[in-house]
Amino acid sequence: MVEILLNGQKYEARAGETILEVAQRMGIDIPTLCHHPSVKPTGSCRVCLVEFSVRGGSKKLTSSCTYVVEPNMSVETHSERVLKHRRTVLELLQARVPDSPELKKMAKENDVRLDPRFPVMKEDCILCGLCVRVCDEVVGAKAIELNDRGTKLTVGGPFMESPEDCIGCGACVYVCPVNCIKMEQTAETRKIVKWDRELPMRKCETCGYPFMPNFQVLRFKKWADMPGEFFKVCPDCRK
Amino acid sequence: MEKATTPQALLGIIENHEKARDPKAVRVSVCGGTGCKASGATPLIEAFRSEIATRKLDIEVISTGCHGFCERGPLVVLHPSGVFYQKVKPKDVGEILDKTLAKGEIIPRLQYRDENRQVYEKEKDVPFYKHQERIVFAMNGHIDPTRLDHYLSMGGYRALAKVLSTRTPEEVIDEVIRSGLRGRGGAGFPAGVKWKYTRAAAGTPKYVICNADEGDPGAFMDRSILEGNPHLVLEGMIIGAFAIGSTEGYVYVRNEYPLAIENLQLAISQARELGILGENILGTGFSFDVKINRGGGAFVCGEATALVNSIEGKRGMPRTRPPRLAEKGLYGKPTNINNVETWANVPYIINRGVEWFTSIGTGDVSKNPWGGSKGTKIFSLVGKVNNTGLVEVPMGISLRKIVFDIGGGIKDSKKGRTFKAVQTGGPSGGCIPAQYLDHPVDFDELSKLGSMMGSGGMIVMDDHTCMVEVARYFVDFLKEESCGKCTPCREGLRRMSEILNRMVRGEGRHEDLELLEDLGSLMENASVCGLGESAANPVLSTIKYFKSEYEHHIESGLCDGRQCIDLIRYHISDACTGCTICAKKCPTGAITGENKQLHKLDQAKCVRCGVCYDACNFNAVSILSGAEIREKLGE
Repeated sequence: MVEILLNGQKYEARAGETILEVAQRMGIDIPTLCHHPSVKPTGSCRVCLVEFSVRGGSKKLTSSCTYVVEPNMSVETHSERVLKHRRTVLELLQARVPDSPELKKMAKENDVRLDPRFPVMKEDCILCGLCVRVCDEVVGAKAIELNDRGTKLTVGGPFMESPEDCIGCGACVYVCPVNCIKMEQTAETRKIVKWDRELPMRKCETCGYPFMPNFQVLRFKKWADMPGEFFKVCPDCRK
Repeated sequence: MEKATTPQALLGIIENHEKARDPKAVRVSVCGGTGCKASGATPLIEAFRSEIATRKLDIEVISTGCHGFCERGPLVVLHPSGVFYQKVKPKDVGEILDKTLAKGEIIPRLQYRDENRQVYEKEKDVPFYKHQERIVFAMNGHIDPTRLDHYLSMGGYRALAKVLSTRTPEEVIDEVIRSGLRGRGGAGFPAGVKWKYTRAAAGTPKYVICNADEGDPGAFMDRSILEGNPHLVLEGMIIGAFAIGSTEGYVYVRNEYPLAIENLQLAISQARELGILGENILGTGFSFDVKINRGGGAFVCGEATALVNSIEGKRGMPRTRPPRLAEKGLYGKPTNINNVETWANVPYIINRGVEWFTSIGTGDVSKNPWGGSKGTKIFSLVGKVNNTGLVEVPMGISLRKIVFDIGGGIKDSKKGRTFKAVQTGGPSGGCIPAQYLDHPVDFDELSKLGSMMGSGGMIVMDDHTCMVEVARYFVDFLKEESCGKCTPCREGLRRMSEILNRMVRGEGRHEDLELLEDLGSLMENASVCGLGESAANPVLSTIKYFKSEYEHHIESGLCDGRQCIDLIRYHISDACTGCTICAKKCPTGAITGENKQLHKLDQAKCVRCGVCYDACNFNAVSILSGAEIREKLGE
């Protein structure tokens, strides 16, 4: 156990826990965008900024999703300095992605001005990279990547072409914090719009429901060494 | 080369080479560094060799590493006399052999002359060298980097023999801590302390890495050390690996440094032959080997955590810290990264002792390794100075000494150019104004001024430099080179660039200064890595010291440096004698006028290239900006 001071209150943290995990457990609300419990944190969006000092040393800002608690640590999650910089981060993201309801809601909750002081761009993605990490660490498909760098950074398939390794599972659609990865599905195909990836669907031999892209079946058979029979019926009929 | 099997045997080999070196022998040192090769050193070296062979003379021609004074290349130094020739061509070779080497006659045409036409005969007297203190660069002008015997004859690998026969790893670490050696890559973290952390961290193997991903535009000190004296860097790394308990090393060097890679590769294979790299080095049970990893030319990969990701084959994006690399670095194992120049200092500290090293530099490091800056630092001195090149100076030297004594002062000072600022620390360094010229240069003093040591870039700017344009230039560079991972750096630089590009076009707004400061503060405080944290320096330091220039751009469209082409107009005054030179040189035909008549400049055709301004011998062309444009041109 590690004892830390969180907003002036003493808390018992588990060794190896991040500041964000402790705060969430204690019901302290720190906004996050690029964070997801099922993947390793990278601290890229910087919305979860907190101010901390160890043993009364100098106060620094850090991303609470990446920083593992230390003994004698004091953390402020909503100090003036934190709020000021968190607002600027959100203002910058708002100026980049002006039409996201999720981002607007977060901006409002954090008292961010809704008219950014910067020229508004027409992007839909905040480049947090969560989709890339989920595709890599959870799905294992490693189909999408960050491309280029600096202000030219984009996310998509290798060389920004349609990703050939995308199995159309939709995990990226599910985790995107600003909901910019859309999925369109018919009885015949499923399309991940952002990646321009369209895959024919497999229908359940029992009920006829198009439950999984064919390509996903091929990959699952390979990864999990499963018999082909297993994928002939949908999970519901399999029960 | 025979293989050494014990530290004593290595010492014996070194002593034999030292004895074999005759300091009185006649030698011709020709700089074979990248800079001099670009200005024609390779055919020059060949010319010396073939002419000496034809004449059957007993003179050794050494193709050395970089001497630092690249703008005067190809450079030739004749030993033992120390006669210094610059801009030497293959056709000069015969004359040098006939006159200088045979009779001791000097060839005035090849001598160095300073801006006051003062002539200097010997290398050590040339002001560019005279005020330097060359430790890391000491051997560069004397040895052929491809020859291990040359390095050994100068006492090379003595420090390694000493360490392996008389020191424990802990003693080595203690010595490096007490020496106060701080990281030359920029952050100035005490090297010995880092070694101690890495040694103490759990996990094997432990890695040591040499960071040679020098990315600052105009900086080339790491390249010059690696190509000019690769064994010195290797010796430092082997000693470091022994102290840390590391078995594997990497040199991460940018692919744009082919000569450095070639010389280093050769040095590594020579070191393996000598028995100081590989399994069971000198029979001590200590094993260590080094691999070269070529970088793809991303500026951000010089950042230690991005560098580690790059070696692992991942995107060159920084990781958040903690954990420190000393705990979880390359492949999750304890890793120690030091810069080329840091490693190159280590053998000297071991050979000449802590007392000697701490006698150079500032502060007191006896109780606290952060207590000062010890030893020398190599700067890449460029910009509007008379002498540009690599200079190695003791820590604590004043900016004035570097710029005026070594650099020979401001270029075109006779035409009225004066010092305005010096930017230290590369693209993300800050600009220091004239009132701090007598300030000592060390890690802590530079950061107090809002700049940094960085890797040692030093760009001198004169009064014809616009500080807003300087900030715009560096922000645009960093915008391209940011990895794009974190919001403050990526979006902050994007917005800074938008604002500054507007400002230099004369479209600045009153709220812009506050915006720039807000963004700068966010980047400094909340970025993931050092690149983002320091990227606002060029903007914040120019706002701090040259705020009026920003205000002039915003309020009256006045560019103080007369550099922003949208805010200036060239104008021909009554002082024009009608010599027609400007009209002849103008690339767009904007200037018209008869011989001996006042010339006229058509603003609609003028592209503001400044050729007329440079060409005019009568100071008749002036550069107008701000209110002057309205007054004189009525625009």
